[in-house]
Amino acid sequence: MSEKNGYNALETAVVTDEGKAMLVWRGEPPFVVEQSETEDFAAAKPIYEGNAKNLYVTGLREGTHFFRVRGATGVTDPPLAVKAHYKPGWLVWTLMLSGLVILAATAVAILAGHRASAAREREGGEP
Amino acid sequence: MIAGAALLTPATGGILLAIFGTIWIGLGIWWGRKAKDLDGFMLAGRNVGMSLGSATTMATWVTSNTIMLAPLFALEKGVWGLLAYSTASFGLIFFAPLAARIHRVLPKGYTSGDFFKRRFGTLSWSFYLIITIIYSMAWLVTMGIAGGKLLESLADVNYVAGMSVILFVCVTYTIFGGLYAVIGTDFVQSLVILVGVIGIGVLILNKVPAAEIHADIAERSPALLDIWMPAALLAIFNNLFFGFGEVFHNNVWWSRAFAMRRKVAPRAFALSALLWLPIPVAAGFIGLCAGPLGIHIEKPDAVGPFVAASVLGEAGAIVVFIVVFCSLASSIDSLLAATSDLLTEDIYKKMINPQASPETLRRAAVGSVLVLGVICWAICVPAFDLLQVLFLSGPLVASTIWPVIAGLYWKRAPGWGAAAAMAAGTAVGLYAYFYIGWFTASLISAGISMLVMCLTTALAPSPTPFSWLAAKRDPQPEKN
Repeated sequence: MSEKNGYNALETAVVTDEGKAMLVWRGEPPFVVEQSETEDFAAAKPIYEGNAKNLYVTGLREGTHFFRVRGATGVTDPPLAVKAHYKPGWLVWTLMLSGLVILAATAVAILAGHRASAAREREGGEP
Repeated sequence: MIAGAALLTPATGGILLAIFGTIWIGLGIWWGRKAKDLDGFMLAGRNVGMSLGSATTMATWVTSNTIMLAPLFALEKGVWGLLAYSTASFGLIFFAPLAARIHRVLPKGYTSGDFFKRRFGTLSWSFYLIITIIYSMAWLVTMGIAGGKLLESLADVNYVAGMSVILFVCVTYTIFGGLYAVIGTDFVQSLVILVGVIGIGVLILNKVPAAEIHADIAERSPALLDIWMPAALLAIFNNLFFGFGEVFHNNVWWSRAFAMRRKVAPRAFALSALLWLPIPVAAGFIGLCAGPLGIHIEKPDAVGPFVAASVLGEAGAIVVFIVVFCSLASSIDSLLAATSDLLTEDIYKKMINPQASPETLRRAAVGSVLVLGVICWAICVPAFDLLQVLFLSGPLVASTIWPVIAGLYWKRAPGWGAAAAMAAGTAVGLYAYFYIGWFTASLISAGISMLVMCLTTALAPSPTPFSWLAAKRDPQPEKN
């Protein structure tokens, strides 16, 4: 099983900063894709059953998630580990705050400019 | 159902293309019979009213990206992602007062380039032209490629054939009718898009209760329900300033401001923003329904249309096809018209033939639509993945936000300051795109541009306040 081609869990874990991955696998259908939060798949849950050979997973929480595929003849590939590692909180909040400041400044500049130009227009001044 | 197989047969797709292509060309030619002089061709006689004004603005802002990417944003980033996409409506709202000011200072203006040249001088105007031509061509070409690929996905129509038909239809009625034809067809397209997307959204939500959608997301993609999902939060302001930059700078929107009656323009832009807002919201929710409906996603960026078709059958697939065709045509014709205006007024008239008569300019405008169509077709044929080029234009267009604001409202903003703001915003924004992340580029560009514009105005203002009346008497000032 691979995010692209042939990775082993943890040694070749895929890292995503948006909590998403397109899983691709080989083998004979029908397939069952299982997801687990531990490498031993002790509490694995099936997330897909069908004949397709790919699956787009999104909304993965921060941490490592393990996936394996069972085909008609058993487990098709070594399991895949996907590490969801989001951007740090300080970067997110810095950008959010900056965005708010720039948005507020933009709104104020337009509003103030609009009022000033409207006042000039009422007084018959230059545009 | 697997979301990846064609929804319709090529024959059905071909028939729909033929019917709607013929309708749009016929309507465009009929509406465009008034486009006899330059003002008629370029600006629909400068007399567009409220209903047509708001409809054309809304329809132009609904692109294939709205139909295809909004569901993807929801699928990848949850409700915050959907709302992040919707922030593009803010650009239209914030442009509303600018539209009023544009009418006031340039009552006989033709293009956004007129504004930059007259207000800031040649240096800033040159920077501006580079930015806007890159962005406009990227948008135009990506719409052409998207059209071909969508028709291929939806109905197995050959990519080159589908793309060629869409471009041919749009170029034809734009050549015959100019902005009259564009606005008239946009009115019909806006109705089709609104009814189609919202109608499909309502029908799907009736089949899949919200509680079921929530439960499915909680089970499969729990992070999408997190209020503080970093990937979603990062997208909000970047998308917002990308949208601001697109609307504030591009001649697509300035030409509409010039075309509408003075008192209509601000209200039409505000109303169009409200009309546009439900489109990505409805499209986004459609995308979130894939899980509870058991639809397997092979092509994530096509999740919206495939969910619609799976719920509504062939009738739904036909509606999706028509909505996608309308969203593409409404954007492509606007880009053709607005970019040809820019080439005619800012390149041909200002640089090549300043003495050109209005009749000559009208012929040049028609010719430039044709040339743009041919160039676009040639670039679209290989079907390069140019979406990244469009996203890269985010820092470029975001750098123009504050020069536009300063130019319209601040009489002492120096022309070289606007050029510096665009250059600095673009440079730092592009650096951020490649070395920090795409989700920072437009935001950082807007911020840097704002700082440079404010600092240059505060520390080195123009020695005399800019006069629009004096600029009108001397239309090519180099004072700044």
